[in-house]
Amino acid sequence: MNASLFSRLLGSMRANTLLLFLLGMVLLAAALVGGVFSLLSWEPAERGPAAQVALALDPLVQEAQLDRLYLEVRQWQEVTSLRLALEAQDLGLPASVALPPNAPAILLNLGSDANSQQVMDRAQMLGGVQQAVPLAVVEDPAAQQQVQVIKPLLLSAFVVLTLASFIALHGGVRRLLRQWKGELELLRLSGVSPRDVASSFAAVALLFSAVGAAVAAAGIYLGLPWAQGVEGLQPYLPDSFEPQRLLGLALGTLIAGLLVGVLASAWGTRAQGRS
Amino acid sequence: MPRMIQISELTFAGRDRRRILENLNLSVERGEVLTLIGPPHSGKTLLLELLQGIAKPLSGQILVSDRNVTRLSPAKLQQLRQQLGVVPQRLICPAQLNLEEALKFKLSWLGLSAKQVERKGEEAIQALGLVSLRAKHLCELNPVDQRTAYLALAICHDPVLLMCDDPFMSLGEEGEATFALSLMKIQQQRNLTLLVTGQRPAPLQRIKGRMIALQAGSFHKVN
Repeated sequence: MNASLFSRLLGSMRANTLLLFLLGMVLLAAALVGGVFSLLSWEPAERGPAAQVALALDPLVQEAQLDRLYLEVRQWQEVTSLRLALEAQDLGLPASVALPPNAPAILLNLGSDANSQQVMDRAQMLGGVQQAVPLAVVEDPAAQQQVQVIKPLLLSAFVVLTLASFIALHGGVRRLLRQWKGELELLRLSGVSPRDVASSFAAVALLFSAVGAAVAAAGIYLGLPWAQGVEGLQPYLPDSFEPQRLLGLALGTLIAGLLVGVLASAWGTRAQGRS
Repeated sequence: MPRMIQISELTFAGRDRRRILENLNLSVERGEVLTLIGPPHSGKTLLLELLQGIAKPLSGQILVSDRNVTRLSPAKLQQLRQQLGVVPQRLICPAQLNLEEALKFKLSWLGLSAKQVERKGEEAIQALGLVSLRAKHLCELNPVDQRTAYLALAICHDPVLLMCDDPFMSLGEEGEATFALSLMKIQQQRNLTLLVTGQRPAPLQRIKGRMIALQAGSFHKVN
């Protein structure tokens, strides 16, 4: 790749070409997020009975102690997110979970069921905690039905959006090649190999697809744990949020995005390489 | 005198196996000027493509600067092509670059240092009297200046052989005279081997050199 040509290509890009590349980038990011979601496990059976733990607190706990408790629990590695309510009923827990009414409570979302007993033991040793209650996560049947619909939809969206992003990136490369037709002819006459020239054009498409893939990977790595803390979203989210798995997903997303970029740019510059 | 081009028993057939060039023999010495006249589709452009190694002959041998074009590896062929200067018949203007930028663009691709790029670009502009046009895009120039600018682009890297494919097309009588003058000036200044093709004898006669005709796939002497 020729760095000088690469920077010139970026600098001289026309608005409609830039728009195509940006469109390809956004579509690719959306496709990858959709694809990852559709591939994750959403089976309710895999969700254990204690993916959540509720801590019933002393009704007379002081505000300063409450703050300390909250901050302490928040630092635990097993806890992916937590919610504090000054009155337990505000947590919206199922009726089967009996917590002392009108007392503060903390709801902990755990990364894995395997850690629930350990978390409860540690919580009960904290001052101000009266009781640690494992929560059986009751899936909303309606939500589960919706998940069954959403999953194939996401998979279809992944296929369609990937194809659309491929077409957009390919179109961007073709437009760029047309814009630089005269310069390329000049280089061809000078005996410069068309392959050498094509690599700079491919690099532009690859740059945009890499940004799209990086955005998708970051969205998956940071967005999934965040989404788990949002009330009402849990039934629609995959089960596992372990950092290692998230990192794997993010890397996989990045690689998939780069692959789309490589294919789109290779396809776009194919004619140039042949000439 | 050492030879720049040596063509022996060259035959080229098209996809339909029709022979376009048949059993051609030609020898051009270094520093010689050769004009090649022929009707449209007689194979003039094809002959230039064969000399550059772009087209492959059916049989025969082509030596350019003592290298057998038909047997060179792609890398070696690319090296050889970088030592040739070509003014094409059909000009596709670089739209993103003005003349000075286009010269630098080409020279830097050929791996020259920044100083050499600057110097050789300037030399080409000065040699062809294009100083006032250096900041203009090639598409903005009139046909004669455009051809002259392409001539500057063809000679800026000091090629061993300069080939101009029908450069007088659509120039008009005055334009033909001006361009022929530039061509002869640069040939003499740099002692270039020059090969110019054309369809009409009048403009080619402005170039002082040996003239041969290409007709029905064979070379013929021109009186």
